[in-house]
Amino acid sequence: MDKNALFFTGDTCQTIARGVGFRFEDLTTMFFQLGEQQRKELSARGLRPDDMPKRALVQVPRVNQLSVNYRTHNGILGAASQIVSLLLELFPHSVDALEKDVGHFNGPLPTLLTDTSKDDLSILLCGSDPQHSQIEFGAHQVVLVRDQVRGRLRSAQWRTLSAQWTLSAQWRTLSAQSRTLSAQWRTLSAQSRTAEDCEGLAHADSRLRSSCPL
Amino acid sequence: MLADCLPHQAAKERLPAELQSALTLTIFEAKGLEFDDVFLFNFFADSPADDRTWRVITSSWARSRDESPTDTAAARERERASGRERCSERASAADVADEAEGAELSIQAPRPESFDRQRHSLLNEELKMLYTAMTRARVKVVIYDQHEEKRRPLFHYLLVKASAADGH
Repeated sequence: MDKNALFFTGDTCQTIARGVGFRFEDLTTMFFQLGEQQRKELSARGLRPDDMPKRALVQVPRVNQLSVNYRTHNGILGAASQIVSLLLELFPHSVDALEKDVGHFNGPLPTLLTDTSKDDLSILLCGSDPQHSQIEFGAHQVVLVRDQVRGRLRSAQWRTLSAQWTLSAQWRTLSAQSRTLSAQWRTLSAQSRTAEDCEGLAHADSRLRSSCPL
Repeated sequence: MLADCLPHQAAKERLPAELQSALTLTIFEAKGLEFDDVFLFNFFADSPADDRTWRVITSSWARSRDESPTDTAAARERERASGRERCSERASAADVADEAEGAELSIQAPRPESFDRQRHSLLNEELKMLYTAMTRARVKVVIYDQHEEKRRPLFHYLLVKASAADGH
């Protein structure tokens, strides 16, 4: 078996499982050390690495950074990369230092609701007239919460609030923009995914051939 | 508890049908998924990190900006004249600059909290969680939070960096 026919993928900024963390930098270090150890063991047995088939030797894997983001636009990516900057500064050993990823489009910046304090909420709720809401709120939207129990209790409250907010002119403008963008993305990401898959397959295929010299 | 949230129980029934079906997921559940729009609800209010921990953000970006070449001569002069610890002096020099920048923002600059890797280790996980939540969206991210003190440092940071819009 080819010891190097392994493929790892991931984003270290998304290692949110409690107590679990990894960096690609740590993985490459691990492979380097395994390689060193293997060389020592070989020389103890009077063997040189050149005597071994290449696939039996542990090599340091090549790291490819995917720096084009096909999911979203630069409005969201800019804010996300500001969070990564904080992580890199405060916890440099916790994430890989990578190039900032870029998208194919510019888009709306994340919106921070700052005027909706708890006191304002009741005004919002009482003042809302969701029956006139034209917005579609379906499977393409998600409300993200910390935990499901609290989220469920609050989702009714949240729905009323978002109904109120979605009525605002600002929202309608944003939605119109985003629908156009969405359509563009769907086309583009479909294209790029196909391209990626082909590349991935070609890569896997060459790997396979190099590991089965028949 | 639901009654606390809604002044009238009837308010829920008055909601449009499409809103009744709003999908609510935890950030863990949403990991690896994507949606057009993400509404992040009470991320800070329900955060295990306290407001002091979140305020580390303010001292962090203020410090890195102080190290930048755009640093004013006056701020450097203050730093030189001061016999105090370098780190805290940097934060207070940044405070002065904050006031000028903050004048254009609707959000008041939080008081910076100096960083201690052990005491504020929770922030590591929290920032990754926030990153994960935001990057679920293809089109739009809306962050709504009821905890003014806890949300302020990150809101302020993103607004100063011109990386978010104040939706009021």
